[in-house]
Amino acid sequence: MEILYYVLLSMVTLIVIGSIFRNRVARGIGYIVLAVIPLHSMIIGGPWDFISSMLAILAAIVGLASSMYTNSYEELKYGGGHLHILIDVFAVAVYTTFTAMDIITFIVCWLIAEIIGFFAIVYEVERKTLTAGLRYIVVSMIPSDIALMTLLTSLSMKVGFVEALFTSINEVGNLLVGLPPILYIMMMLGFIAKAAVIPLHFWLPDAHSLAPAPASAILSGVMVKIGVYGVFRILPSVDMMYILITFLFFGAITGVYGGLLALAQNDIKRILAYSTIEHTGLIVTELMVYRLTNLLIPLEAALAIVCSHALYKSALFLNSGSIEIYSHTREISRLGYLAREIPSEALSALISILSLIGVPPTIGFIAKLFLLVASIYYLIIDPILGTILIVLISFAITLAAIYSIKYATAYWGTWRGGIESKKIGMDLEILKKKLTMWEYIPALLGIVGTPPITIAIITILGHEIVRLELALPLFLSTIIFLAFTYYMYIRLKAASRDVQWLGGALP
Amino acid sequence: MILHEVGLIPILLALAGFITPIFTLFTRNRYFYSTYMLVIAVIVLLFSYKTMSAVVEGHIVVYPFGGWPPPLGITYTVDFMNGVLGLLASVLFLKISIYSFWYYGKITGYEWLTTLILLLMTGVIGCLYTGDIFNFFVMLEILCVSSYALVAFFKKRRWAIEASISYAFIGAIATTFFLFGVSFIYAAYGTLNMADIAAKAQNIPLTTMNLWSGLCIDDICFGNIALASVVSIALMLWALTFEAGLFPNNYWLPSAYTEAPTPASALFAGIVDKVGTYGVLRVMLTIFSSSSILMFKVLGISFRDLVLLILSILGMVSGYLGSLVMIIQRDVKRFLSYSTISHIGLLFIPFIGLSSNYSEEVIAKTLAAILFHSIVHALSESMLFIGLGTLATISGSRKIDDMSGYGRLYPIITLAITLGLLNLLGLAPFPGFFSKYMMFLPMIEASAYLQAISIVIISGISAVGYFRIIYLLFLPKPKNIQEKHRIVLPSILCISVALILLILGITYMIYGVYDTMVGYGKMVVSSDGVREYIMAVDIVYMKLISGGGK
Repeated sequence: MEILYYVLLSMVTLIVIGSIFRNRVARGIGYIVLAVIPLHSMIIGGPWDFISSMLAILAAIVGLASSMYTNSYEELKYGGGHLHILIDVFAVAVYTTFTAMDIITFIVCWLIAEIIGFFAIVYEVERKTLTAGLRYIVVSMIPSDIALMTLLTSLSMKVGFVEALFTSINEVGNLLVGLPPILYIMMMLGFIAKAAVIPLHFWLPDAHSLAPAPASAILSGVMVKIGVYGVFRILPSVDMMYILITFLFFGAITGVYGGLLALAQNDIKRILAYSTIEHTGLIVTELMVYRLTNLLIPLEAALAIVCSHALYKSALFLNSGSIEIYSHTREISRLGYLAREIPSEALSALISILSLIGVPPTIGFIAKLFLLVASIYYLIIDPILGTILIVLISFAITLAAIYSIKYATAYWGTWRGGIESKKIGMDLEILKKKLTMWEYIPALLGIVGTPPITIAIITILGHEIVRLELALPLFLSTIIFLAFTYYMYIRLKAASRDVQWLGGALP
Repeated sequence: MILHEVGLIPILLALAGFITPIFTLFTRNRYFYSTYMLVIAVIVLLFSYKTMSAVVEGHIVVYPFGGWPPPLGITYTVDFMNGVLGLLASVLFLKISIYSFWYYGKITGYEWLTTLILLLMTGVIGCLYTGDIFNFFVMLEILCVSSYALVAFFKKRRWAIEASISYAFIGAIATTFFLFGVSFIYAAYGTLNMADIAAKAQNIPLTTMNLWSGLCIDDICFGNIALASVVSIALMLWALTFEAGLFPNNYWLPSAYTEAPTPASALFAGIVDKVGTYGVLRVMLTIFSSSSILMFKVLGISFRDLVLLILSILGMVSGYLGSLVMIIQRDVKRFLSYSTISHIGLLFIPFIGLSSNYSEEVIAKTLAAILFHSIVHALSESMLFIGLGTLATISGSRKIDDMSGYGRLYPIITLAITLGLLNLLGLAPFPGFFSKYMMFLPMIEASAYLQAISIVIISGISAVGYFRIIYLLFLPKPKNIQEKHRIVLPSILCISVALILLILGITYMIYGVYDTMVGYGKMVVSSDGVREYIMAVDIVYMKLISGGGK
């Protein structure tokens, strides 16, 4: 199985070298192989366990989409530059963090990913981005570094200084048993700071909305999952009820908070950023429920949210980048009826939004289904906390539906600018071929990938066997979904209302 | 074990320094002076390496000057703590002398710079190796006086003179305080030898040294040693923390480091501040160790632990101060000076782990962490001074903004600078990460969570400043395209230091550097280790009269 790891390392090298020489083919092959290796490990068996492999595959997919998207994005937005190197190294660093097998590799890759993340956030040098970068360092980087140091230190108190560096990452949960509670709190706080959960959440909206779009896609799609991954690794050792319940409610409150603030935003990227906060909150909640109840279904829920969120959020962030390139603005009050101008973008956004709302048979639906089922299980076990939790979670889910509609108004809503604007001379074919195409990778995977992801989560975690009668409703809902999407697509081309505005910046 | 090389190093350096002006009568060729310094540096490195290898074998190396038995004559005593720092000092000196081949082409008056650097090194090595507290004062004076002169080296610059005056004025007062402290000790203990003082302060019976310095009954030797110790520790720590640049005494440091010539700045940031740190460690660990006269209770905790607690808090203050002020600097050498202050803070923060209520294991780990961080910081900070100082020299300005985009013009040296900055930041394959990990570990074991978290927070804050430099070097396009300067030698020097750091980090993981360092640290801090230190000096007389020296 060692050979897999060497193949992985050589692919990582290939991507970085390909990035330096601007070679698309090498990078594309690299990412695809990077996605296949953990898949191989998942199906046939390999050095990684299910969680690592799953997150790694997601990182590779999001990395592929963002990396290819960057090629044209940097041309169209900045007129060249070296953004693609930053994006590639970033994606690869996140990927290797998930595939790290010992603590030292994990920490090295984590730190590199963090540093690259900072440079991605401040890529557009402005006062705003620098403030966001500063906040990122203080609220996200420092706490998570404290968490990493504490993790390493706690390990070395158990197994010795050098041995701690080479501890296998799968054993961390068992080794850390019986530490003083303050160390657990430090670790948990640090890791959830990376996932932007209350109380260390406020760095994320600025950072994710001000970074270039492909960087945001990686930051939001997979980077925040590093924190979740960290929490997952130390979780088996935490056995203080009060810590778990505290973080359970931090997560649930984050869900509602993120949803509410997403409603109040005017910038499409900020909507998405707050939506990320909401989802990580829900993921952390489910992980805590998993630890509290020892049932498998909350873990499945958490994993399903991780998968679905990574796919649709990266697709939507790339989509917001395209909107920005096309219309030169991100403010929702100045956008509307873009669907008439850029229908292919609109379709990609539609698929992702439906997944975000949770319409069957998208992966978002599966995630929400698991989430609700898990909450009901918890309700049975602990009626009081369960009631509060289920109320918060349902509220968060509803809010998700509302703000996704708000995002959709960029394509289908009324344009409230009020002034006649002029058409910009942009070749739509370029936009379609070079940018939109890559949004479809994560967006379509959110639909096509639903059965395999669901089956993988259910069977590999050993919850129950898949039954055939489940396939029929799934098949039916797929047909309804396709019909609905097709209808929307036709309608938006022949929208009855006639508007003068044809997209582009305000005069 | 008596080793003659220990005594030879300061003598050689002092002689070499004092005869340098004579050479100006014959030649003013800059290559001559560079080669001269390089030869001296290689010899010093060999000698200190030999000393270090004897220390690593488990000996405590002693050299009595002039054959006088310990409390009467000056003794040089080297254990692991100062052996490591002495080797570090000679490595830095070698680095500087290689750099001088390039740097002397850019300035005039290099013969005097050579003299002053040699004298500075005399002071540094003398302070580190000496086993006599009055000799420590003398060497500190040599170090300080040559530093004043080095800071004012560019005497046409108004700011250089001002920096030198502000440094010299307070520095003279601080060293005088040290002299007062030494006088109190001499008046009460009747001896100046560190081992002898340590023995008397900890009530350890001696065989030969008390023949000369007398016996103690309880607290009374020649005077009341308890009182004298308290007063002298206050006075001495003032001078030592002044030299280290710890918080209330840090105001002179940025302007002095900034105005000094680049090689001198590299030495200042590399080793001169470590001399102050070493002095505090020697006083608190060997002379007044955890079973000493200073263990009486004040405010519920023992006086020694109170001092360590205060030092740790001051370390936190200077760490935060240095890292915060560093962010807004425009001058690149000032930036590095504040970075040095924050790292001095980091060196002092773990001092809480040296308190007597922790086990020897924790104390040894703390000491190992402090020493390792000293090494890491000295190597990379001096490399950064050389690298960024070179860029400042060729751009003719020390402003950070004027160096923007130099990453594309001079890729090798900027790569080295980036690696050095990442090392100071504590990125993982670099030893900087492991040194912070080493400091973090005993803090957690000692339940000093505030200190532990502060270490990471300070690194995090300083990340902003380091990222800014990296960003400015690489991302913008060069402002004014000028002719390319030849900086082959500094580039090679810096990149090789960066590679050495990388190799150090990797070997750290593979070989058991940590356990080795903790093992030697335990030899220094344990009560047996202190006793061994005292006995190694005590037995010199017997060796001398039995004839031979070996």
